Amino acid sequence: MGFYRPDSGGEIHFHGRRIDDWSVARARSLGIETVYQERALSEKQPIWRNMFMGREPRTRWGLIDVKRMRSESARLMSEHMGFTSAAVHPDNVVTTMSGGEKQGVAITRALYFDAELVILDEPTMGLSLSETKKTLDFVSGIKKAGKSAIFIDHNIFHVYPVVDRLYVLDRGKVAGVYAKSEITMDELIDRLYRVARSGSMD
Amino acid sequence: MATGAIPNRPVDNRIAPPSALRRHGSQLGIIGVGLAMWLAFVVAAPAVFTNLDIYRAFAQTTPQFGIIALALTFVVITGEIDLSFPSIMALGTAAFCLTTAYGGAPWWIGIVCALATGAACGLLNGLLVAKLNIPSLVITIGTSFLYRGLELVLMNGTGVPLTADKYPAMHALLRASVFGVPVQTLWMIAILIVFWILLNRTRFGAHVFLVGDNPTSARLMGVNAVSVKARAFVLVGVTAVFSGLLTSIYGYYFWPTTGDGFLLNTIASVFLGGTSVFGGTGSVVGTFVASYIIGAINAGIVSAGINAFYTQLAFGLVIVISVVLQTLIERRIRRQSLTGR
Repeated sequence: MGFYRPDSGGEIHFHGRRIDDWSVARARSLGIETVYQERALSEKQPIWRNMFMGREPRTRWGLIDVKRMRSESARLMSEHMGFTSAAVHPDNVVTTMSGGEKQGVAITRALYFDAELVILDEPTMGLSLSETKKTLDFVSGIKKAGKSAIFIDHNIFHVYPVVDRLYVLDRGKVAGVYAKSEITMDELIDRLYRVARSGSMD
Repeated sequence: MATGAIPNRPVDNRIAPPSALRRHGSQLGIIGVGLAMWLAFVVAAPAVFTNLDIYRAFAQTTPQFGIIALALTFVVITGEIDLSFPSIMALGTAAFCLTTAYGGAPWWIGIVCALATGAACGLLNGLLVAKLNIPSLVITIGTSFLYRGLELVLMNGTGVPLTADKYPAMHALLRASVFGVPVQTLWMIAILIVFWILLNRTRFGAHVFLVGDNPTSARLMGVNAVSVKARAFVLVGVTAVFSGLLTSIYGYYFWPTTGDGFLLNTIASVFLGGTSVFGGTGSVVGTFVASYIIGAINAGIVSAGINAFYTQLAFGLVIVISVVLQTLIERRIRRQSLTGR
């Protein structure tokens, strides 16, 4: 299975360069950020710790810059997320937040570090309707900010409105590639039914 | 009382910080327990507890286990436990005796060897736990026998006298008083400050919390859980040896049984101090205060004129009641923040 490494015969290229030695640090240094299905948050920790997980900023004394982590988190939460509720003060622990707010932290965290490419792995899982809409708005926001996103999801109704290009995967292989302008949502749904039954898009 | 925060709920764009109670609840709780116990002792035995001597006695003996408890707090926050530190105390001090009393090396080389032994023991614990994913409760019972057995074999079961005329520097460093304050407590305060900075103001400390909270998330965010846990165990190993030296110099003698009786006091200090057994939360300040509470119960009971057989009973009551209160307060705070939004 391809976990950290592509399956045999597969290659990963970024900006035309083939890269094999993947790690979290390597991906970050290339400007790739990931929003995981399980959100990868530490629920008992305050928001400011979650915002900077694994790359806490340091002062020139080598100590972590808690003041900056707090103030940056507060700024991001209100400017980028539009959060005004009492539950999203940077000192609040994540466990007190709603699913959408948690996803907001995970996505803001990905965007804050000037990613060139944001990979979202089923970001709408377990969210309410309005929270899903908010999350999809964030995804559109990535595009507006001039950055790329790979949006992985099972739900075509979430995917279709926000993407430019669609890759359909079936049984571990690419079953079809479409530009959104080439195909309507209804046609795409028909083909998805077909591929699920027969393994072929056409 | 708990609903007092509601009128201050934010309107429009203001964001309210969580209450001080919410953030420091467990630490305030333990400080409260400590003060209440102290007042009870003062009332019960005013002659003893208004005299400095009793405090000097706590200040000499509490750091013997309290210093280890400070380091053990890191391990418990990562969601692990170390039961082998009493044996590490003995093995490290044995290394000191072997290099100085038998090997003829100067005292400072003995200290370096002893602390290095502690670091190696801690590293082995940490790698077994973090790299091989063995439950720490199980493997540190094993290494506990291993280290104790090694020490008994090396020392052939005999002790070593550590008198002041043979080890003047050691006695000055680990047993004397500085302006009337026992140096043991000064060491503990210094270590508290260093560990507070380590836990709250370094990346290592930040990662200790992350690994204990959710190891999967920590790994996805690029935190090396193996290295974080291993370093936490090394911290316990080194402080255990330091405390072994402290204890042995205090008693003028290295007993091959050094460390016996330290296990439960130390672990109780960590949990009494509000560090969660589930990992992810904890405080070295809480552990510090809790150590002195546990250190004071024994001396307090006896000097209050109560039969010494009551010591364990008081011990049990203080620990059980405090931990129950902590759990109740935490649950209440959590419900309040869930509904108060």
